[in-house]
Order: sequence, then C-alpha cells, then structure tokens
Amino acid sequence: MKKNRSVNNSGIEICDSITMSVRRRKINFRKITLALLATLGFYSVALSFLEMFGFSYDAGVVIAAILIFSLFYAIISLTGKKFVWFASASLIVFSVLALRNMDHLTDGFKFVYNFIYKISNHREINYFKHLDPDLEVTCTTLLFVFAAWFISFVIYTFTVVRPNPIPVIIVTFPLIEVGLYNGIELPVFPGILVIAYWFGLLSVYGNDAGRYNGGEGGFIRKGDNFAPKRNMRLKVTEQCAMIVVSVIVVAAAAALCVMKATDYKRSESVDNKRSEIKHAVNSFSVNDIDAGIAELTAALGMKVNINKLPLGITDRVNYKHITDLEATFSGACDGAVYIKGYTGGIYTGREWENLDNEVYDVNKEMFDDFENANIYPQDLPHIFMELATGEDDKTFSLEEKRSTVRTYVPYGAAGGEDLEYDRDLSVSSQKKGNEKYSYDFIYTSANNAAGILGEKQSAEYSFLDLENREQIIDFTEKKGIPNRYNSVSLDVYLKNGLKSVKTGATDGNALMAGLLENEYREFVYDNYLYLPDTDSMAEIYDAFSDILEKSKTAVTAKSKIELLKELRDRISSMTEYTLSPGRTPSNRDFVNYFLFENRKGYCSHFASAGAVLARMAGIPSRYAVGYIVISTDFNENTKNGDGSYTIKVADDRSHAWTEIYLDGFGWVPFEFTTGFSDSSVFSQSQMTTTPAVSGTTDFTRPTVNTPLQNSDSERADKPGTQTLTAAVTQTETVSSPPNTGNLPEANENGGISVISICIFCVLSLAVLTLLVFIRRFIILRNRKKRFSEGGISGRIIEIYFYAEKLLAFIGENRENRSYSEFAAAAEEKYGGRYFEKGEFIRLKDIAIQSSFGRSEPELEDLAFSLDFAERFAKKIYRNSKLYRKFYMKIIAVLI
Amino acid sequence: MVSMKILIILLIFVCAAFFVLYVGDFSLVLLITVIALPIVMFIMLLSVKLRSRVNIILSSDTASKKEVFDITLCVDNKSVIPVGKAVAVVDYYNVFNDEINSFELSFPILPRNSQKITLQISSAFCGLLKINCAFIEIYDPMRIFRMKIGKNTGKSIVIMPDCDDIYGIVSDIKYGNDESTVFSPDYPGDDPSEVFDLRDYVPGDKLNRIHWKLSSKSRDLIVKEYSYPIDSDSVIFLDLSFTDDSEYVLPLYDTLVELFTSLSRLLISNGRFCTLVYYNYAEKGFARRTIDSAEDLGVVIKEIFLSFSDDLYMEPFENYFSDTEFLKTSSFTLVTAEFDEKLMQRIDRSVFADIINIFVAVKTSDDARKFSGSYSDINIMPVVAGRINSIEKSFEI
Repeated sequence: MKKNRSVNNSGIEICDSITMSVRRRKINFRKITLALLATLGFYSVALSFLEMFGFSYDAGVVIAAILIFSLFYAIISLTGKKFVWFASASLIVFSVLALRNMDHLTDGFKFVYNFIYKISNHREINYFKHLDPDLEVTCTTLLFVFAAWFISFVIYTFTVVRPNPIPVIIVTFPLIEVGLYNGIELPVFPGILVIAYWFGLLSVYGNDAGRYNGGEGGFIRKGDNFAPKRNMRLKVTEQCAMIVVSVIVVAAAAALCVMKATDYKRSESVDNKRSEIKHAVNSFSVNDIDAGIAELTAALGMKVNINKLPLGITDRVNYKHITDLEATFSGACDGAVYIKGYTGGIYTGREWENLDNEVYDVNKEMFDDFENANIYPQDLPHIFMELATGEDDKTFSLEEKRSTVRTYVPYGAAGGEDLEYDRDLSVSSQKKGNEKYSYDFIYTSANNAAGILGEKQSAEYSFLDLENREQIIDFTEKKGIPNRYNSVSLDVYLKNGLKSVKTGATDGNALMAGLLENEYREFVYDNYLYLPDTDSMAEIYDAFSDILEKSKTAVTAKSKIELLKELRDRISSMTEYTLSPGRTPSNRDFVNYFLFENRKGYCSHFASAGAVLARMAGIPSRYAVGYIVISTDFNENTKNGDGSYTIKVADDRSHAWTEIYLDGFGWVPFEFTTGFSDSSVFSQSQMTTTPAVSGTTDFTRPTVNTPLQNSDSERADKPGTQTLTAAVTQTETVSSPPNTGNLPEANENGGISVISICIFCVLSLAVLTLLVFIRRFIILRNRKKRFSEGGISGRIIEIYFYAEKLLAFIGENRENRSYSEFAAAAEEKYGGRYFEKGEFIRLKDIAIQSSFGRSEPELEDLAFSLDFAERFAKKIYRNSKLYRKFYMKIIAVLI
Repeated sequence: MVSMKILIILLIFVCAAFFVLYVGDFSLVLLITVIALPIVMFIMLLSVKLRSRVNIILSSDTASKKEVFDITLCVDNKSVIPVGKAVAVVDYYNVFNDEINSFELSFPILPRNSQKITLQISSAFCGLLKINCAFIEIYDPMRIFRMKIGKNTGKSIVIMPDCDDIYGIVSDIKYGNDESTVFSPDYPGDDPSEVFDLRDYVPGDKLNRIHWKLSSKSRDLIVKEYSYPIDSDSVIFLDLSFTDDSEYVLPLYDTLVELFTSLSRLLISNGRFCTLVYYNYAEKGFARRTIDSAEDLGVVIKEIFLSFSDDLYMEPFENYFSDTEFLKTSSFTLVTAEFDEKLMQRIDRSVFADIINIFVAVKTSDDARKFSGSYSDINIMPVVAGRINSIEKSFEI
C-alpha cells in the first residue's frame, strides 16, 4: 500500500502505518452480532405490527415467510462481497413476482387499509369499496409475505452490510406509527424491542459513520486525523450496540415490573392534558395562526394574549360537546349570563382587534385614576347594580375543565382575587393551571340595566362624611372639578342617583365610580364609535337608515335598547342562522357580505353586524366572545344541596355577542344572534336546511327563522342529536370558545390533519434528500471511474471536459469557439485567479495531443491534469457564495 | 456528539409528549426507557474512566535525524464496558521551536483488555522531541457523553544531529601550561607525572629518561617520554540564542548544532580534544565541557537538548567574556546565527587565540553573500541553513 506522510513545519513526520494490538485476543463475532441485531429488529417490527391489528391473514404462511426471509438475508449478509449478487438476484425475483401478483397485492393493500381505517375511525365503513371478502385472507397474506420480503431485505442490508438507521427507520417507523397515530395500543414488549433495535443501530452508525474505505482493516488517515476502518477487526461497535439494546430492554422490563407491581393507572390530569393538546392540535389552522398558537400554548399551560380575531376564515363550526368550564352560582339567574373572555374594540372589515396601545397611552392618566381608586371600568355595572337594586352579592366561581387561552368573567362580577384587569377590556388570571376563580357577582343584563337607568341628570353630592373623602378631594382637585363645601356635582343616569337603595345615603364607592364613569364615558364615545370609512359601511348604513335615523331621539337606555332590538329584528329577517355559512371572500367586508350576499351566519356574524349597526346608531359597542349560560340551565339537575347551581359549560355554549355601553352604567351584553335569548340557544338540531339565496339584495325577503326554545335536556333526548354527538366525538371535531366561528374545518372523515401533512412533508423531504444523495453518489463514482480507468488519453480528455464544465459553471462557455480561443479567453479571464497562468492552456494542449497525437501522453501529463482539475474545482468552491456552493455540490455535482 | 445530545433531549420531549397523547402502557415505558438510557450511559462511561489507565512508550530515548521510531499509546481498560470510540489528541513538538502540532487518533477500547497503538514518527531536524498525549476522549456506546482520560501523559526523545564531513585544517599550535592536568595527545613534554610514550634510545637522550627496568628485559635501551601539559587547544562557543521566529528557526538550530558536531568530530578524528562553551538553560549559566571522544560528544549533545526548557531566556553572550577575562586557547570558534560588529570587537579584545573562526548560520545564500570580508584576524564564515557542506573558504581550527 502506498504510504502517505504528513510533514509539518517542525519537520516531524507521522507515518500512516498505525498498528493496534491487544493483550488478550478474542474471537470476533462482529458480523454475527449484527445479524442477531437485525433479526431482533425484523421480528420485533413484524410482531408489533401484526399484534396491533387483528388482520385476517394466514398466520402460518406469514410466519414461515418471515422465518425464511430472515434466515436467507441473515446468511447472505454474512457472505461479504457476494451479498451484492445474492441481494440483487433476490430483488429481481421480488420485482418480477410482485409485478405478476400486482392485482392481489393492490387488493391486499386495500383490505389492510380498510381494516386500519375502520379501527382508527371506530366505524364499520370501508374506505375502498367493491372488494371481494373471499379474497381478503389470500390477498392480505400475499401482501404480508411481500412486505416481509422487502422489509427483511432493508433491515439486513442496512444493519449488517452497511449499518445505517435512516433507511431502516424510513421503512419500519410507518408500520409502528400507523397504529400509534390512530391510538391503537402497541404491545409493550415487541414495541420496546423495536426501540432497542433502532437505538442499537444508531449506536453502530454513530461509532462507524463514514468509515467505509474498503480494503483490509486498520486505520485510515485524513490530514492529522486517524480513524479505524469499518473492517477493523478489533472494533467494538457491535458490542456497544448490544449494550444499548440490553440497557433498553432491562430498563423497560424494570419499568414494566414496577408498573405491574404498583398497578399503575394513568392519572386523570395527564388524560385531561392529552385531551387539551389534541384539541389544540386539531384546531390549529394556518388561516388563524395566532389563535392556533394561543390554543396550543394554553394547552401547554401558558396563556398568550390575542389581540386580533379574524373573521370569516372558516366555512363551518363543529362542536365536540366536551365540558370547557364548570360554573357555580350561589343562586339562580333569571336571564342569560354572558361569561366574557375577549373584547374586540376596532372593526377593520376582516377582523376585530383591540384599540391601539397608543390610545391607551394617551389616556394613561384616566386608567391610572381607575387603578388608584381600585375601581375598574369592568367593575362599574356591579357597583351601580348593587347601589340601585340593593341586591346582595351572589358568588360566582368558575373552574376551567381544560386549559383555555383566556380567563372568563361574567358581566356584573367584581372583586375577583388574583385577577389582573386588562385596561377596559377583560381580565386575566394570575393563577397558573386549571384553578378555580371566585367573584362577587350581581346578575347584569341590558334589560335590567335599562330598568334602573333614566335620563341624564346633574346632581350634587356631599362627601363630607364619606370614608373615601380624601380620595374624592384628591381626584376632584386633580381634575379641576369644583368641590366647594365638600360636595361635588356630576352627571348621573341612575333613576335613584348615587344613593343606596338600602341605606338611602350617598355611597362613597359609587360616588367615586360615578366620577370615574363621567371621565371614562368620554373615552368610550371617542373610541368605540369608530367604523371604517368604506363603501361597504355606507351600503349598510343606507340599508338600515330608516332605523338608524331614529337614534337621534333615542337618548335613554330604554330607547336605545328598543332601537337595537329593532335592528336585531331587521337582521334576523334578512339572514338565517347556520353553523356552516362558508368562508367570507378575502376581498369583502365581513358584515356587508353577511348581510347582503351570503345572508347566512352564526353568532360571530350576528354579533359583528350588531356592533357595527350599534355604532352607526351612535351607541358605543364592542364585539365580545366567551360562553353563554341561559336561565333554563338553572334547574333541578344543576342544583346543589346548598341551593347553589353548578353548570357544566360545554364547547357548544361558546358564543359571540355585542356589548353596548349604557351611559352612567357601563358595558352590558346585547344579543343580536337569531335564536339566542335569555332562555334559549340555537342548537344544531334546529338548523334550517333551507338553501340561502345568494346574489340578491332583497334583504326584506321574509325568511322563516323561528328559534326553537329547546332546553339542553330536550335536545339531548333527540336521537338525531345523540348520533351527531357520537360521530363528532369519534372523529374529534372540535371548536374553541375564543375562536367561535373561526375554527378550521374539522376533519370528520379522517382526512389529512396537520400532523399528517407534517409527517408527509418530512417523509417527502427525507426521500428527496435520499434521492439527491444517491444521484450525487452515482455521478461522483462515475466521474472517478472515468478519471482513473482506461487509457491515459481517454482519461485526460475526460479531465479536460470536466475542466470545461467548471469553467462553464463560473460563466465561461466554449460555445462555438475553437479550443485555443476558448483557452486563451479562459486564461485571460481566470488565469491567476482560479489557476496559475498558462495552466489551462497546458491542459488544453495535453488534451489535444491526447486526442489527435500519435503517441500516448506521459503519466506526468495525466498527473498534472488531475491535479489541475482538483485544484481548480476546489478553488471555485472556496470562492463561491454559500448558495453557489450548494448548487455546485448538490445540483451540478461538480465537486 | 452534539447532535446525539440534541437528539436525545428531543426524544425525551417527544416521548413526554407521546406519553401525554398516547393512552397505553407503551408510552410510559418508552418515556422511562428514554430517560434511563442517558443516565445508564453516563454511569457506564464513568466506570470506564475510573478503571482505565493510559501510558506512552517510546522505542528509544534517542534517534537520528530522519530515523523512524515507534511511539506506543498503551490503554488499559479494566472495566467490562467497551468504548466504541475514543479519540486521543497527541501533541508533539521540537523544543527548538514553540510550534505545537497535534494529531487525533480515533480507536476503539476493548473491555477487560490492554491494547497498544503504535505510530511511527521521524524528525527532519535534531533537537528534543516532546510527545504528549493531551487527553483521550472516551464516548459512551450511544455517544451522548464524553469524558477525558490520560491527561498530559508525555515522553520525550532526543533527535541526534547528523555529522557532516567538514574540510578544515587542524592547527598544530598549542599552548603549554605546567599547571594543567590536560596533556597533549600528540606531543611529548617534560611533565614527569604522566608518561607520554616509550621509544628506543637515541643518542643525546637524557639518562634519567631511560626506563631501566624495561630496558633490562629487552636488548635495547628504552627511553620514557614525558607528557606535555597543555591548555585546551580548541574552544568552540555554541551560541544557540537568536531572535528569529520565522520558519527558519528549526533549520538554523539544526545547522548550529550540526556545525558544532561536525567541528568537534573533525577535532576528535585528528586526535584533538575541544572544549565546548554553551548556555545551559536548565542551570541558567554558561557551561564548559571538554570533549575528547565521540561518546563525550553524544553525552554533551544530549545535555544541550535536555537543558532546553520552555523558558528560553539566555544571558547575553558577552557576559561569558566579562567573567572570563582572557580566553587563552590555540583556536577559538564561535558558532552562532546572529552576527554583529560589537560582538566581533568583544571577541577581539577578550579572546587570546591564534585562530579565531566565526561560523554564522544564515537563512539563504543571499544572506551568505553579505559576509564578504573578514574582521581583523577573525575568520568569518557564513553557513547556509541545512547546507554545512556549502562552506567554501578553507579554515584552520
């Protein structure tokens, strides 16, 4: 063997000849060990797959095939170089037989697919139809025999001959994954053996990667690095692999023993978490990445604030009918309780979003006043309701049954511990995990608020004897509000003013709230009447102008609510409620498209339309999202022994509504959605099947949309509803409360989910990468062969053309020029940069002599040509930018 | 290895997620296994580390220039755990320059066995070659962790200089010194303490020189010749200090040592001994050694090399002359790589010798041409690095 030497500046040479000897020489079982590892892998994969599913096949034939193929490939893999011939022959036979039995194999695949489909979807529906059941055993057995053949070939080849876990995992992982993905229980022992095999192979590969240099054992050298060759007899990689396998098997056996001994059962919290993550993953949509990420992070225990809610991006909503919240009320409520989680303040035509931070920054002083007084805009309805009605606080507590993106609080709540007020929008919890929140709560609705509100009156209140006198003085002095003789004058809308119904005296807290409300009202009118200045909005205004004109005279809360009811009735007459309204085209205004073109929608559509129209009527409004509990939910079934009510709020109670601002009171919910009222919600079984009339502007067309007043229990009694619930649960179609109506279409028929797409992409990428590298390998091998085999002349000519390709790569094509002209041009352009001046001309001369000369060129010329080509290619590669390097190496395969 | 670590961490997360998402015992068993695997691997690796020993063995402690010698890395693993991959980082350098080179050697370590990995090394320059196994990194079977064993296990070997044929004339001039205990090997004298030679009587010889006892046993009269006590007849001053840090450092050192060796050899082969003066870095002072045989020469060369340490500070060359008022010798030879006029003046003043030679090792032939003339009676001869045979001028020593 030719010896290479490396000499450095110190004049010290390290010779290539490295020898390794051991004191106690032992018999080498390397190949046999690898064959055992492959056998372990093959049997465990086959066993895992076959045990997961109860396929109908001839077990005897398949087991015999597995044994025969494993024995055959184990033996030929130990034959060394002859393996290539045996393996090639077996592959040819395999291909021929597979082609001849293609029909049976295809049918076998269909039978197997049907079987897996039925198991994973829990339904007796075949994916592939028109299959002859009599052929099931024959075709499935044949498919398994061929699969065993192919898999054994891959496993033994890439375990014994050329250890490489990538092709092995590409072939074996899907067999295991198809069961795991569909939730089919994998038998522990074979499953762990598969894992042990993969890790063992990874260990062999990790210790041996890139060391296949052929020849005898020993060391190979790359610069100053010496590494043992693959064939080195003293290597212990296989021993390492067996150690890894042993460790995994022992650890798994120990774990299994402990689990059996302790009678291990999965904890409920883990199962809950599983359900949440699955829910979040299934609801993930590229159309609404923000919400998808928020859902996922919530499932993982982190809450992310979402400021935007896109509208009309999904064509339908499906519910899984799982409990999201558990609400406990200390007493019954006689109307719908709206439990809010999100508030949208700005309507853009395609989404609801919060007010800009700049707006809050400008009004920071006002919000600081709220904070200093420990009264927040969200608390105002509770304070005024308590003052005006004298009603005692109820207690309301809420427990999240699954991790949600937001914290939910009902209108009329106050004093929640561990709550952080998010400006005037909502609240967020400081608690982590699914903990229980409790609030003081007074039932608040638009109607009962209107009952205690009257016309605006300016009243003067003395605060001399009030506990918070100093606070009021500070506030009024800061704001420049006259406070002579310890009394202050302010606008009040409550019929009884700011005097408590219970005590008849001025309430200090209410007075402070009144002062703050006076200030906040201005902010509300400045910011929550905004609408985009578009033709769509103008069209809406024109269509509703007859009602909107009345807003000029609607000054009291009652008259405003009457006006809103009129708007609601008009919307209801124009549209119909459905959970599958289709998507809103991306160039359309959401509300305009809903009202005039599609005329179909669910709560998001109605609430958005209501909020827009309320603003057009001069009533400040916002879009709110959360859950709804209706009065009929307070029944004997939900009543506890202590008189309280615990209501399980399912995902089908997720809802969107409009909230309006009543002067002198605060924000209250107002229902615009057809079919929703204090005592009813629109159930799926009530949905009309009347097709919508599209493309018309005749919004006065009478449409029958009578909401059915069914309670939950009534609905549950309906067989149709039950069937739907079961189906939805099985196919895991879900919805998310915060994204009401904004969820991706659920995958009811077991179609492609996000995970499937990801797996498909990863596998495609892996296959593509493999193909690219195989192509590169073949090209490089062929080039090396051309440069090293055959006559000197031929080799030099090949080298010259390779050099031409390199020149073409850097922009110098020969085209129609003569060799001499081309060489001269190349020299002029690149001589001295990529190669020494004159070198390419010399190569050209040598190549021409090789082609046309009478005598064979010298070996020296060949050596020069090779050296030139190598240096030239390396220089180009070094001087190229990263993407050019990639192109040169992977696409053009020039180096 | 980093990728394997990332893979394992990723796998643990994936298995944790899988455990949450997958209902079945397999997911928990898998999670436990994936967590247990790196822990067990770490413990195994630790056991190998604690039960392994590393040593370096050299086939000899001296070697000639360009002679291939063996260096053997011995690894003794007493544990039952094999190491699929171990990487030894071996540093090696010549003490004459501070450029440390290293190579990496990957190899497996067998369990309960002792193994030797032998490499072959040669050096083109003389000097002291230090070979140090900086560490051996051992990896667990999954290559998740690595640990170091056998840190800084080193050996050194002296690379002896070649001895070139150098054509000079050995001078006959000697300086007698009655108090000297060194006697001329060539010339008889009058010191009766040592007999120089026995020869036949020649008329005119003093009677008290006749060796009566020996003469009585033979027919002829045998006369004793007494020895001639002399001072060192040739002093070679080896100046190994120079400030050059180019790639010529080693060739220059090599040339200086080989010049000294060749000159010494020339003297020894002509029946003369010489005295070497050089700066001993280990002793931090000038050392003076008498060389009268090839064995002495070898010992002195080793001593010079071994005296080299990492701290190569050397006292100014002139200091030696200030300590030694007059250097009285028949010939004085300075072997240096740095030439300057002041040094010439100093030598001219301090050295009392009939012959003064200065051999200046230079980098290139161009540098050699700059030394066209002589200084006073001092014979200056440039020597191109690595080409001792290039000395063109005839010289007497």
